[in-house]
Amino acid sequence: MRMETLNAYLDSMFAAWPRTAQVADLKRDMLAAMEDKYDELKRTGRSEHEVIGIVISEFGSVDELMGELGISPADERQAAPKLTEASALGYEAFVRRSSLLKGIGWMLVLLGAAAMVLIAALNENGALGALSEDAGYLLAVIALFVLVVPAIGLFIASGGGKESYGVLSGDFELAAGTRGIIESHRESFRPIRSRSVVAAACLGTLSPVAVLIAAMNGEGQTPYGVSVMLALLSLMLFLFVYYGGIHEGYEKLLQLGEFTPTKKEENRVLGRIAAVVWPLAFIVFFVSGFVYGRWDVNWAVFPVTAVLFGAIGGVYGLRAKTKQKA
Amino acid sequence: MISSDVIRGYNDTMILYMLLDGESYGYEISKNIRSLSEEKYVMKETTLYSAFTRLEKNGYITAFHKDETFGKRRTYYRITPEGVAYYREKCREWQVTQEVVDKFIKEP
Repeated sequence: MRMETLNAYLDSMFAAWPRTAQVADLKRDMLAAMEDKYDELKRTGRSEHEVIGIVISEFGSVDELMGELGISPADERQAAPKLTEASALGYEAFVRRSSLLKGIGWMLVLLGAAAMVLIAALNENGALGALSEDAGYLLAVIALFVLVVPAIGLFIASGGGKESYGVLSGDFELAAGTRGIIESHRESFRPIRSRSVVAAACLGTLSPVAVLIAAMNGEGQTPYGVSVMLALLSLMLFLFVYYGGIHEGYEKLLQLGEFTPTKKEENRVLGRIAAVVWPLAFIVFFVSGFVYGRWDVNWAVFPVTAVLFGAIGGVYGLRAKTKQKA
Repeated sequence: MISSDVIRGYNDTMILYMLLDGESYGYEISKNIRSLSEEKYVMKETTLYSAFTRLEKNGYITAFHKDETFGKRRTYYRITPEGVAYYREKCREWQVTQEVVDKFIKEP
């Protein structure tokens, strides 16, 4: 409460001024001093409102401060576009909806793969009864399409309404007070996000166990395990995409972590690499499975890809950092 | 409460005085000024930080960071020898100012 009110007040006081490092430092120091003052006044038994009133009445004038710093007000035309509270909350709702749709979409894609592997395995083991072998394989492919096609629909729908938030891709500024609101929303989302990451990581690490258990029951059983693994991975992917998407939305609104200007560039490059590497991993997985029947070991391609990709990301991040220093 | 217009020229002097005994940080300085003036003068936040900026620019104080317990990072200030010299000069200036102004003040 204390933090938010004082922070919002300072935000509004400094809103018209350029956001240089010097100004940010001053603002942080002043906030600390105002918090100290607040805490001490609060201990005298005064009410919240009274204390805030005193702290604000003893703030003074920012013009005085900027005059000393030799800073003139930010030119309104040059200033970054403002994101109003309504747009920020609208974007929050949009991110939730679009992350949900994307999450379900990716879940359907992996479930499609799971269904395909399952039907192909049933077919191979002659469990599809009257169906000819070719018809069985056709059925497997149809199952894949039946799940993937709606997924594509969901991906397209997830982008709907994005145009209204074009401002967010460039430089922007949150309207006074909005930052505090978004920060508190992000705070209450944080534990949910942590739980989803833990759950997803557990699903991801445990999923190959299904393959190992199935393999122990005989070679013909391995693909069933693969199918279960893919179903578990589909849940993992849902958790990652849905909760990760919401998390990213907050970071974007607050221009934190991944969304500072240098990070934005780094992510563009890594995104391009990921778009090639992961589909490639899936191709290797399915070819080695369907053509060579090595369902027992080929799942290892995913952890290997994940580690390699992590290494690439790490090296790239380091290089970008040294380049910055140079 | 004293009007800030009258006292303006001596804000820096007050801050330097507070730092004569050793380093301190924003809130502590403003709190001490308030109590030393017997609550008659409260330095506004922006006045205090303008003064820090000005004094630092002139080399009268230096700023440094110190991490407190509870993870709070504070900016501390320390007076420099130039700052002490400037403080003395301001003290002499005030003596003269006081003498002069006193000549025009009629006892009530």
